[in-house]
Amino acid sequence: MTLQGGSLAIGTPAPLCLRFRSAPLEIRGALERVADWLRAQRPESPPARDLELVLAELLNNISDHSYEGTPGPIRLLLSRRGDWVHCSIEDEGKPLEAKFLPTKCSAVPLPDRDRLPERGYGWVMVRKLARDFDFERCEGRNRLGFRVLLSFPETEAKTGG
Amino acid sequence: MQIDASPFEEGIVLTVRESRIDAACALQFKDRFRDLAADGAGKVILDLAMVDFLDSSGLGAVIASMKSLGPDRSLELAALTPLVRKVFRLTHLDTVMTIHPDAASAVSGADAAP
Repeated sequence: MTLQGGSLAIGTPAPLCLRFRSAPLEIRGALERVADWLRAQRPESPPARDLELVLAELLNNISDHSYEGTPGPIRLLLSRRGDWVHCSIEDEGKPLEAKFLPTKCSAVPLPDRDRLPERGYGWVMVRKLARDFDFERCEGRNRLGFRVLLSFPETEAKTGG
Repeated sequence: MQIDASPFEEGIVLTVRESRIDAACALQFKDRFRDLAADGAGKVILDLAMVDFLDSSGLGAVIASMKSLGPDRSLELAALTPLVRKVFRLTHLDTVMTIHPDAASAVSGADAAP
């Protein structure tokens, strides 16, 4: 039996499951693994790196607010379904309050240059690049689910990149 | 955090020689920027050609660095890679900051950017 040319062999990359701690350099290492996984989705013309950006914001948020800067365990699961990547992030830190979840946010006001805010942009980007957020607190864990569209260069060109 | 500085007639070009400005190095970026830009005069051009990843922590560091220049000096950005350009577009910061296609045109003022 051969799978060569079969739809299961091509176009259904294995899910990615990573366990790491919420220290900045470990988060960076995990994001580099995600970058490799993204490139493997279509090596000859890889998708945009929206997913890395969304994950960076959410993982930094867990580091800051769930673990409050003291590194703790994180489990990240990514699986591709068609043009979407379904994501799940679990941590064992403090229950994440609603204000630290990306479900609600407003645009950051942009006044003149000398009064530009230095924070608040992360949620703006997450809300634009990810959808279908689903949060639960269960058995001492936070679990955040969402999905991100795999945006390939040809669709990026259409939507203005 | 490696950033190289090269003065020109109207200010200084700071070239970031790292692939990321993220939560793990945002503070180092701010410190290094301040060290290099603090004593000079004129505009600062930040060449980001080698930076292929910028998160909101890195973005905050760039904005803090711009504000640290004070009201009389400007920060202009040059050579944004695709993801970095997207970060500025998604946050609408591309509407309030000057962005040049590359450092050379930023220095010569040859491009259309104001």
